[in-house]
Amino acid sequence: MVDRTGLQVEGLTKRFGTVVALDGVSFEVPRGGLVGFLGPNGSGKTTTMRAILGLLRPDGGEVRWGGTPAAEVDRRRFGYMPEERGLYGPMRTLEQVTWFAELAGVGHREADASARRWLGALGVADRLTADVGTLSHGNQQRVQLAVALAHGPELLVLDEPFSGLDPIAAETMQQLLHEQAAAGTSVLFSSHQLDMVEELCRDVVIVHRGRVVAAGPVERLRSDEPVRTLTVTFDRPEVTPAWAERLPSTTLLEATADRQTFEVPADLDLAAALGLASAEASVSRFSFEPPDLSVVFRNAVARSTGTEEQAAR
Amino acid sequence: MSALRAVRLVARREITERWRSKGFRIAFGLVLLGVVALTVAPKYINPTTSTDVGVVGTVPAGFEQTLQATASGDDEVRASSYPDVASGETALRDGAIDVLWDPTADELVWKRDDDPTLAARVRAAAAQGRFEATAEALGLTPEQQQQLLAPPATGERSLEPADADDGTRTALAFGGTVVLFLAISMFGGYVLTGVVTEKTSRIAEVLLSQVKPSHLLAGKVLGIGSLALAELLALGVAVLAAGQWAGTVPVPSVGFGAVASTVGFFVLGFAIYATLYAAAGALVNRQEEAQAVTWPVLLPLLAAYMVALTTISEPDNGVSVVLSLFPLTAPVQMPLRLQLGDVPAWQVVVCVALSLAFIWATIVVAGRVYAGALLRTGGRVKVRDALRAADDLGR
Repeated sequence: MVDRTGLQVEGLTKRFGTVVALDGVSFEVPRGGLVGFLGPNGSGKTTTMRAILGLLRPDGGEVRWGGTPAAEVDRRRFGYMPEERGLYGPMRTLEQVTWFAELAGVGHREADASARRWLGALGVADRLTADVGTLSHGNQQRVQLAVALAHGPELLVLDEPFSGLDPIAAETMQQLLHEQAAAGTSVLFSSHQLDMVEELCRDVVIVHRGRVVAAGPVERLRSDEPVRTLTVTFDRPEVTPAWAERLPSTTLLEATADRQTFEVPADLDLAAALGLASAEASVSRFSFEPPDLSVVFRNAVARSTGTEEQAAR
Repeated sequence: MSALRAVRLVARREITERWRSKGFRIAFGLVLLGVVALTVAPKYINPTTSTDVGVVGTVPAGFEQTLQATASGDDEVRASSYPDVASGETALRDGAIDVLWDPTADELVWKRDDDPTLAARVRAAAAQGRFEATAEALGLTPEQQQQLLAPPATGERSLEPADADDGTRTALAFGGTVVLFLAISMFGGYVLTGVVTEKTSRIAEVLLSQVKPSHLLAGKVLGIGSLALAELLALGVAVLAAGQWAGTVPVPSVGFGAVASTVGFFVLGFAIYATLYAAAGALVNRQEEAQAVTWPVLLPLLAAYMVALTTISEPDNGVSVVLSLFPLTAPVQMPLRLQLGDVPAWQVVVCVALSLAFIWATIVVAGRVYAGALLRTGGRVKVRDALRAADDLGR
């Protein structure tokens, strides 16, 4: 069996003065894994990423690559795209990407070829000799990604790669991450766009206040939730959602003319629910599904906040 | 990847990108032209001076020769005749002559201010002419006249050997001081703005994910330093070539020493100041704040530069000696003293040893400040915090 051990983050702790930034963060990104890294602002995502890249020494815990503590040599095979982009404005595009690849240990000729290939794939091939500072915001973003990719990293760490991208560019980015993972690269990226994460990743890690509050396959996290999303479509408009009040702990999430969406307990008696709805009007569609990732996220964060408050009391 | 490779890559980028800038090349061209012009200029602005004396009536025989004999240096004396006082006065007003002598009235006429020295010389020459005329009237033979006028044979000796190139030496030493001051502050400034740019635009984060801060710092200082060194050497060669051509700089005797000490002390000075500048740059968060941290760094250099004039008039005074040994001021003061006087060998050894020790300490301490401050954003970083945060960096 092929060893798929890639990135292992084990019990990272970090304190800045009195602020606890990381409080025992652990998770894994296997080889070829594509993991979404989620959390509210200030939850420790960037700090974790910096620790992975060796930009920050954690107070405790360890970053491992391929089963051993990540060393300087390993980190040469990491590619990083920080949230606040950093490029030399007055330097030419191709030269810049080539230079960064060389800095990561690639020979000049190979770096040049790789830089051309990536800039071509990302659609910046016609601006190779232009100074990066003269490129549009979107193109600079692409160049930044090329910098992260040109040395052929085995692990990609991308902080908010989708922020500031137009829908077409975002789609290109999604496809690219998918291809990278399929080719065996481990990919860890943070994002606030949960629908995109849900579409793209099998696994997610959710952090809050420096702790992992949920982690694992999106499917499992969704089905582990004690709630479900119930959507009922009637074949005529203007049915009031009052019928659902007789169901146990049910909340109306959304109502359109003929469709109503509720959050219901996972152990809801479906036959009874369908019966109540049908008594109101004839039902054309009836769906009972695990909640969206956004609900998983919200509940995980809320639970962690609740636990802390309880502990404080 | 070896440390050397990282340093080399960073240095190479600094050199190629700096040289790519048109402004940089234009500035270099202007400095080169300026230096060559200053070297060649003395040939043109220092032509031989002349003294013109007008005489009403005929110029007595031997008058001009006697005046010339009492002239100093390159001064060339010309005596010209005017038919009457009026035409002589016109010439005086026009500036054609410096003084008008009217033998009949025995009067010296000036345009405005009198020149006592010139007056004495003209009177002496006039007296000489009258003496010769009287002697001839008394029937003395030319031999007897000669005997009567022969001056005593007065010998001469100096306590210190004469230095024909003294002026050139001083000029070159001062020029070297100006060049050193400008080169250190200008190229040090490049290091500063480079660091500030990398920090404020967050390039530092991408860089440090692949390179150790010490390698980044070393590459930057070496890259910009070698560019500066190349520029200084080019200036040195230009000065020597232009000086040789124009005859204003005696090349091997004076020129080589001046260029060598300027270049040598630039290396020591730049190593210290560039590292300090890099640390200072890492502390600020915006390009506009850079000015505030530049001052304290530049102050010792500026002080050394301002004391330079005192050093030129008196190379061995106490302040100059101390400043020429102190590493932060030595790069400007020591080459100046070396050019102007005899610096005891022990002082040179102490100066270089102190400088090397100081460079080492600067690299250790300023390197830590640089590493600790580069990734800390949101407000000016205090030096103490930066030193403490240096251990926070995971590499």
